[in-house]
Amino acid sequence: MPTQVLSHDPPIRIEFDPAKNVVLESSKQHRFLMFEHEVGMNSRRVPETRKLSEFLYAVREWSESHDAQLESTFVRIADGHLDIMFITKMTDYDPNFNDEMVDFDLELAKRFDWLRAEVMQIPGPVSESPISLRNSVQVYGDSI
Amino acid sequence: MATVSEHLDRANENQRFLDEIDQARYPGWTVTAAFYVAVHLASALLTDRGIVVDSHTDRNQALRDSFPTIWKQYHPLYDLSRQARYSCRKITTTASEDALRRLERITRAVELLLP
Repeated sequence: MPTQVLSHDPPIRIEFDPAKNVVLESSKQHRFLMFEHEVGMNSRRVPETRKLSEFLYAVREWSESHDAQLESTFVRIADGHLDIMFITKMTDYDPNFNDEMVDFDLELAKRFDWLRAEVMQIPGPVSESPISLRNSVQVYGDSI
Repeated sequence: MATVSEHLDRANENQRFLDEIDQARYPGWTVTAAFYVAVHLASALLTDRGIVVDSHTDRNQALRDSFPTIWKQYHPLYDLSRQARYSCRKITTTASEDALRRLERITRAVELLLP
């Protein structure tokens, strides 16, 4: 599977400009371009940069609207889809948060039907979580 | 491709396994077994509707598209079992008890939707 490009690096934290485009320091631009490339390869569709930025921005916006519950959010390339990993401030699984998260999942599926994504709730903190951040970008929260 | 009846038989077999394990002692296996009951219930329903899926990603998408109410109950089982199996995350009894409640809702919904 062609997902080697980000594997040895920690996630890069992305920011957005007022037009909702991804903005990065020049040193990180190459890695984000590779992320875009991998998303295209793994989803078997090559998304336009603008569409991917809109998708990531939607995830960021939703995360910001749930800042009381969320520590950070990562988007990871998985096998044929993207994983959206919501790292919560809770110490345990939260059924109510899950319901809100799946409503968002349904909204994403309608709005971004060119991309397959799976949402995940992971009790934090991320530093103590066993999750892999290989091939991921951070769209919300403090840098790790 | 398995038939509706074969999926329901496998769901029942997995449910019997789920009923026999010590759920308090093995919450990770509880959510995993519950998920595999749900997989076959969902597959029975999709097969009945003529929807062919051959991967978790495809099944998830079909549930989102055709049965969003069931998807809302199915998703936590998928998510928790995936994390129990692959990420070594500790599954708590809060999570496994919620998974069992959601499996009951899926079972009732599928019973109502199948002829």
